[in-house]
Amino acid sequence: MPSATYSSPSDTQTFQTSHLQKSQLTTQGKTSGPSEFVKVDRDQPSEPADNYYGDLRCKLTYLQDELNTLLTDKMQAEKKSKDMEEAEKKLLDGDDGDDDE
Amino acid sequence: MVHLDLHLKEGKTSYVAIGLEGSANKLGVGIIRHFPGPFSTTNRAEVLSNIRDTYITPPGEGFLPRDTARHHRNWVVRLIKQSIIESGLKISEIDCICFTKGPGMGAPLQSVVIAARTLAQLWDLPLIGVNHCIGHIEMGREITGADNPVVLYVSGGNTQIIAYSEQRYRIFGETLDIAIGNCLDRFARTLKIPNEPSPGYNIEQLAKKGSKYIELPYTVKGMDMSMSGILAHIDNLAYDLFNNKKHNKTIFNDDGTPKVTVEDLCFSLQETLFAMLVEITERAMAHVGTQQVLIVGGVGCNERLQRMMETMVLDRRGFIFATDERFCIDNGIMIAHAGLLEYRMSGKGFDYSDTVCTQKFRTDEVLIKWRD
Repeated sequence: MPSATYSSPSDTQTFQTSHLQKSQLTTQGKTSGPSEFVKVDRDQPSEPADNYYGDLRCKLTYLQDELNTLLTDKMQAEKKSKDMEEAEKKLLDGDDGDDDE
Repeated sequence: MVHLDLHLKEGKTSYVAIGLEGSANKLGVGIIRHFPGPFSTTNRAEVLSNIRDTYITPPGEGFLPRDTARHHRNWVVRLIKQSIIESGLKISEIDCICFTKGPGMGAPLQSVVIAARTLAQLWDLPLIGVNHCIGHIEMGREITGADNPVVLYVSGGNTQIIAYSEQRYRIFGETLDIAIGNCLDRFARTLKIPNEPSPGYNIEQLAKKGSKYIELPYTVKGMDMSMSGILAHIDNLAYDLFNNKKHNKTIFNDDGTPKVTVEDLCFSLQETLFAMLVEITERAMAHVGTQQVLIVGGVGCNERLQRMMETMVLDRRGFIFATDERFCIDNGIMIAHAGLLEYRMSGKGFDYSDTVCTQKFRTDEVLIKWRD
C-alpha cells in the first residue's frame, strides 16, 4: 500500500492510502490539471485500468495531491510571515523611498 | 578501429533499444535494432518504430513547462504501448532503455526520466541517459551515411556548428542568446499564425510568397551569432505594419500605402538568419578541412535553409546531407540509437543515481567512445 512521508526539522507528516474507497479512486488529480492558458485540453489522463496498476496510479495521484497541497500551504505561510516581517520593518525603520513603484 | 561488440551476449544476434525523448514539446518513442559489426552501407541500423506526439498551443502562445510536462506524463504510456506493438517485439527482446538526459526544459525532461526509470524497474533493464544533441548528430550520420561532417544543429532550443575531433563533438560556433527556432517561433507568435503543424513551418510557407527583402541587422560575431536583436527589430516592424504607423518609411511609402507584406517580413527574416548560418558553416568547413555538411534539428527541415546551404557547399565541391521530418524533428529513435551505441561500448547501464536529467548539458561534455 503506497504512502508518503514529509519530514523537515520542524514538522513530520505521513499520508496513507489504505482508507481510500474504490469510489474515491481517480486519475484526475486536483493539482495536476492544465494551466489557465490551455483552452482545449486534449491531454487528459486516461481512465484507470481495473487492476493493480490502475489502483496504484490512482493512489499515487491522491498522494501527489496531498503533498502538493501541503507544500503550497507551507510556501504561502512562509511568504505571509516574510511579508509581515517586511511590513514591520518598514513601519519601524521607515521607507527608504527607493521603490520604483 | 573501435570494436563495438565486446559486450555482445552469447546467443544474441542483434541489439535492441527503446528510446524516450521529451526535452521540449515533442514526446517521442522509438525502437531501434543494431546488428554486430561496424556500420556500413550493408550494415545499417534498423528502425522498428518511431512515433511522436506534439504538444500544440493556441496561436500567439508558446509552450509552458507545466502544461508540456503534463502532456508528456499523460501520453507517454500510450505511446510506449503503441511503439511496442508497431515493432512487433516482445519486451524480453529489448536490451536497454534510453532516455534524454538533457539539455532541455526541466519539467518535460523530468516527466520522461520518471517514465524511463519506472519501465527499467518494471522490466528489469539497464538505463542509458543520452545527450539530446548527440542523438541528433548520430542519427543524422546513420541515416545519411555522412561519416565525418561539419554538423549544423539548428532547432527551437539550440544553434550550434559542430565538428568531431578526438572523441568529442566540439562546438565551433553557436548562438550567443536565443536559438534560431526560438527566433522564428516567437516571430510566429507576434504574427499570431497557427502553431500547427509547427510555427516554423508556417513561417516558411509565408516566406515562399514573399519577395521583397528588407534589410535587417546582420549579427555574426566571429564564429558565433546573435539573434535577439534581429527578433526585436522585426517585431517592431511588424507592430508598425499592423498598427499603420505611417511615419515608418522602411515599410510605408510616402503616400501611406504599405511597401511590404507579412510574407516579405518572413522572407527577409529567413534570408538574414540563414545567410548568417551559411557564413559560419563555410568557415567551419574551411577550418576543419571537410567537404561534408550535415544539417540536423527541427529547423533543418526548412527547404530554403537546405537550398542556401547546398549552394555554398556545391561551390566548395562538397556534399550536403539532411534528413526529413521523421529524423530532423525531435524523436525517440535518435535517443535509442545514440543510447545503444553507448550501451554497446560499456555493456551496462548507468548507475541508478546517474539516471537523472539536467537542463544544461553541452555537446562537448560527452566522450564519444564509439568513434576513434
